[in-house]
Amino acid sequence: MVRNHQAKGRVPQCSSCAEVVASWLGIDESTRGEPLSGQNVALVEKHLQYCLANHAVYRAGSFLPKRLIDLGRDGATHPRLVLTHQEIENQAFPAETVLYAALSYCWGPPADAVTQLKTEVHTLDSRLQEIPEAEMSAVMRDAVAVCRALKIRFLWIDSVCIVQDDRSDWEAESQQMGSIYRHSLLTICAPASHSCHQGFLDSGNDKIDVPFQSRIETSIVGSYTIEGQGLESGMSMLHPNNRSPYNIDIRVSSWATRGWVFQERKLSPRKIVFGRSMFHLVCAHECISQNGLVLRSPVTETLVRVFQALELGIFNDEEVHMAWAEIASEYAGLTLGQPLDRLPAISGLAKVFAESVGLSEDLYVAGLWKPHLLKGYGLLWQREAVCSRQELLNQFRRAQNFIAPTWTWANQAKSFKPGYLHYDLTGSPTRIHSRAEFRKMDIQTARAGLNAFGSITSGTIRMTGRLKTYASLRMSNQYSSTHARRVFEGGNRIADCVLDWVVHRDGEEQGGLLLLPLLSTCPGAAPGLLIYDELKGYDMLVQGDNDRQVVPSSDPYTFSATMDITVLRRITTDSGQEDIESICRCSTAYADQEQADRDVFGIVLYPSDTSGQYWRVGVFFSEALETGGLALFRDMPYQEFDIV
Amino acid sequence: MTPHHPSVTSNQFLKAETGLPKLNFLQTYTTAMGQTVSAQATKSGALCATCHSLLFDDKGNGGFAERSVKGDLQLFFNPPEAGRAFPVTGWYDTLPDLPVLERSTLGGCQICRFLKRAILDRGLHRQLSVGETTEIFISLFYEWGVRSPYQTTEPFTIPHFPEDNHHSGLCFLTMTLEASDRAFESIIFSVHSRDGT
Repeated sequence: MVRNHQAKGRVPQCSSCAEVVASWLGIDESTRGEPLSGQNVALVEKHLQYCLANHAVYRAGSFLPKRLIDLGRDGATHPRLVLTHQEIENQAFPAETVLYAALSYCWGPPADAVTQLKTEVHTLDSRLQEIPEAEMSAVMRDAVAVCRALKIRFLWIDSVCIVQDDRSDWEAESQQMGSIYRHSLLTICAPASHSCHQGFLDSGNDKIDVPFQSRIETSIVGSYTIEGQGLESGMSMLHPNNRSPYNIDIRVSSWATRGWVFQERKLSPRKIVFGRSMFHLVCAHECISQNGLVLRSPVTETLVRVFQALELGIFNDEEVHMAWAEIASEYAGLTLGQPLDRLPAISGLAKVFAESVGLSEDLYVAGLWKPHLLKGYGLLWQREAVCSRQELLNQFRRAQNFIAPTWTWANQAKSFKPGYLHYDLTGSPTRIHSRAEFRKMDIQTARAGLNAFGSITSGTIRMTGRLKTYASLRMSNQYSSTHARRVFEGGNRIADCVLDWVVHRDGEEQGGLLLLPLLSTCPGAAPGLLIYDELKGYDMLVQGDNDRQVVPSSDPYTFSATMDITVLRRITTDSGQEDIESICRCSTAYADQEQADRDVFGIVLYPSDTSGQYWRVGVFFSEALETGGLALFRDMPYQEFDIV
Repeated sequence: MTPHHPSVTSNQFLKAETGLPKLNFLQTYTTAMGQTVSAQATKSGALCATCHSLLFDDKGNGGFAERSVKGDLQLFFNPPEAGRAFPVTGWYDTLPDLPVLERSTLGGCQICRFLKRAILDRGLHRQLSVGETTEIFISLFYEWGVRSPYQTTEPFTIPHFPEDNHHSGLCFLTMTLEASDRAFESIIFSVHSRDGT
């Protein structure tokens, strides 16, 4: 790529001029030469050693992948694939010396992905002999160069270390991916590459020098450089204060939008991230950029500290639900080449989550956890609708494309808002009296293969609860949000709801819906709860602007503020016990009165094509006012039914 | 996260037959080389109006000088908090050929060449059907944001931690592209000291 520096000849060349301009304008230093220059390698090695000595949470090498690429001790030998444990048994190298880097990259378009070097059943033996570097893709060659510069002998690359056409090997290894990245010495991330055939060590950005003369201090004359970084789409531009080189490099990359990359990015304790502008060393504490900038990285940029907190057991059940829901919500909107990978691509992270919290694998059901479903709030997620009622119902009917049942977020490739019942707008816990409004719930899923956290072929919730059928409900827009609707029956307001299909703003009749109450709270306690606010459709982003859609918190590069606050609070609170503010002003005894009227949270169902089975199509809140609340369901008998 | 929207919009610029809008102070701007150039420079092969607008106008944007704790002169704004956008310029052009930028490029303007290539390299024109053209409004603005609180080459040491209002600086030049029937896009350019300094 030609670097456009033709304008250089027009501006002063003295370094002191540029320094004076840089100081006056407060602009950043340029990057320090080639990424793998001696100075940069020394910088990386120093930070890596410091992090290992002072921040290390997971000892590098305490888990070893089944296969690794051995680059040799001196860089003079040809890379080859090794069966790690077999080589250790044969004393080819001692286990304690096996420190490996892992590569995280985009395979790219199908035409690129299919032509990249990979291991298949018929090539496994030859890979064990040698992997010719000439056959490696550009991304792999750059990763090898990084390892050699940093003297890291072993490298893990998914396309080479997993036998791609061996289904059982693929399933077993994809389940291990969480551990593979979590225990790597360093993860080499390649957001500068859009494809496996595009290297990341030379980003080739165009630059141009721009002259400058101060009109305030006229002696300040010189120039600075502007450098093209990339394209940022949509309306969610970062505030200038968040535009660090790292954030920009991530936002303009397709790497960070890929579903498979998510668990690699979130579980790696130490990353070297090669962006379009420069590289960045990222751990759970710091982000050090190639130009010397140091930023405190967000606590959840990697999930290392979240998992630390989970392992300490300082989260209550709903906070564990919150932690998982935030992870899943961030993941759900990412891009997958194969929609059927929606559960497998996060299975490594789910497995690590289960191990951290102490949940057994049979409690993981289609992207959710049974204990949180049994509490009711696990079903109260909501998301912005993007398709019509007919389109959504047609998707539900296409059994051959089954990915997940309708009751889980994994049914659709879209970010969602989880339901937190006992938390306020800031994520702080609140004391309210809540009560389950169903009697029984049994959840079953059928695995598609060996991976307990992977694909499923079916999923059913069998419930005993009170269903209320409505021949027709009128939905009208009462709020700034375009997807929360007020629900009327015969002129009486009965609830507020968010449906999974698009409902027009100006009032629309919806037939055949059923409301299923899941949880109730004392009347008047709901305002102030996070979930209440979301269901009411209030959104700070759209105050006074009724014509724009509310976009759920879907920034794929930062964790939600709610989780950040919760994690930080838990990590920094010695006892884990907190003074929880009570927003419930009733007496405790009131909550136990079966007949007392109460506010209700629940889900909206629609009959499937099979009798006694329903699809989840939304979430509702009904306030205990004149025609709403628990009174709506008081005369309904409990019945058994399935949600699929 | 609050979305940041620049104060430059297509409504603020009249759609001029002559293409690039003119900003008054730039019409007789003294460049770094001591030359005085005019808005007619495009035709003469020197800097065009866009190039002039990219020269950051510290005074025109309300800046003032103050000494840092180290004694260096630094540019400040009042109120001091970072996170502001300084509109630069805006104009209408047409994809895929970008004739306004092309005219300026042919006139010798290297920055227009740079900006044109930045747009085409991002592939926005590939969203069009063959033979289709679409008018877009292109605007540029500088972003004054928070810089790193400290810089270091040593692991996790804090050699310098100046007071809060000394943390801001010129961070990015952003080019936004708006078309009536397509999504809003922006191209980010980082601003940094010249290579080799």
